[in-house]
Amino acid sequence: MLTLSLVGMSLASYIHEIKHAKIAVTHRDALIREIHHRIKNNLQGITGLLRQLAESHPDTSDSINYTIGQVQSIAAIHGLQERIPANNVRLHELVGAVATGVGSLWQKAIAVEIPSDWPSYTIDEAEAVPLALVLNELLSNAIKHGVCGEGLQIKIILKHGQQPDSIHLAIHNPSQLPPGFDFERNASTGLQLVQSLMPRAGARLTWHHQDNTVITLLELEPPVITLKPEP
Amino acid sequence: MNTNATAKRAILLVDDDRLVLSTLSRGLTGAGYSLSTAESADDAEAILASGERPDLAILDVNMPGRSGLELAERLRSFDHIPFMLLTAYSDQEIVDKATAMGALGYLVKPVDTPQLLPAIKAALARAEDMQNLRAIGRQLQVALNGEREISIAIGITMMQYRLDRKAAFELLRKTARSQNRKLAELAADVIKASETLNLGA
Repeated sequence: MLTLSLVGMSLASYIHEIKHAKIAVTHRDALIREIHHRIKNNLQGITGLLRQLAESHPDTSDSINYTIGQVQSIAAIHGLQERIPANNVRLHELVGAVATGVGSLWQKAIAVEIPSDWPSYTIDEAEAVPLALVLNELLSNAIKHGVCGEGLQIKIILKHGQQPDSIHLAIHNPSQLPPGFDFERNASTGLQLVQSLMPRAGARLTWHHQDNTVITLLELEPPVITLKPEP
Repeated sequence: MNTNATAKRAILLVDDDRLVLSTLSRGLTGAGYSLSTAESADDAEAILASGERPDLAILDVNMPGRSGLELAERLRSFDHIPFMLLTAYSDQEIVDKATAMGALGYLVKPVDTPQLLPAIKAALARAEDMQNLRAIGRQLQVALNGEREISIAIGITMMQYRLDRKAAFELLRKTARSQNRKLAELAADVIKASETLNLGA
């Protein structure tokens, strides 16, 4: 009480201030949630308009669907932040949301394999939208160049990397890389976008072949992701 | 779109939002400009330090670390690179600061390539005007310095050869012609020689 009396505050007014601050935080969180909700709804409105356009112009529907996928992946960020505004977006939730969006857009199921004891990695706020777009691009690309058939499916597998706090996000696609494929030198328009959106530090993208499967490996580490202790 | 007119114009685009950076730089490249991009004021300075000299810099005002206004100050003071600013808000205080610093344009986001192109065209034209004015200023200063030296050399010649002004000028002119030199150059030598003589005296 000595400290309180030093600042000229009674216990009653101290408790009142604390309660007031808690209410202000609740209001702020509710407002942020509402803003994310509205942005997400507006983006969904835009994808709805684009979908109408795609349906009325079937000859250009692939290009329009491609843009719908991009807008959807940005909307996914706001959808996740609408639920937990105080926290940054969790990586495994973003992977799930983008995979569901891309899968339903192109009518292809994408399997997401995340270990049951997977810890909560959050994505740096500034990297969330670029990363969502990168994932959207890589998955759309896998669908575009993948081989369809019995038992063939695109898979995303999350694993811990060799370095502490690093993770591997691998997209397994039953396909072949085009001859002479070079991400740095002759990337397609979509992969050029990936190049320009990749985080400058804490992320690496490589391609590998394994048993008639193309593995697109996205390695992430701090500062792009942070291991968040479970509450 | 006339890409020939813009083919050689280089633009440095600085924005911390990679999506904005990526989409705008693609749009401007498609419109025929040569683009360099930077995600921060520090990155932009590294590009400038490597020797690149863009014709125009487009700077986002709100960036983590040093702001676009701080970078603009350096561009204005040290590099003499014209710039325009992009910002999220139409804030009068920032508009006033930007104007005082000599910004050639001020655009409020969201901006898309078709909106940006006329603003860039106008800014590049103003930048060219300013460069021409600076060049004219330098030429005038050289001419003024030359005229001043010729007047002094005429005075020295008048004193040394006890000639009137017109005769002294004619003598200098004839000498310059016979030596196949510019009058201003000869005048500078006359002044120098006179100074040497005076120092020796």
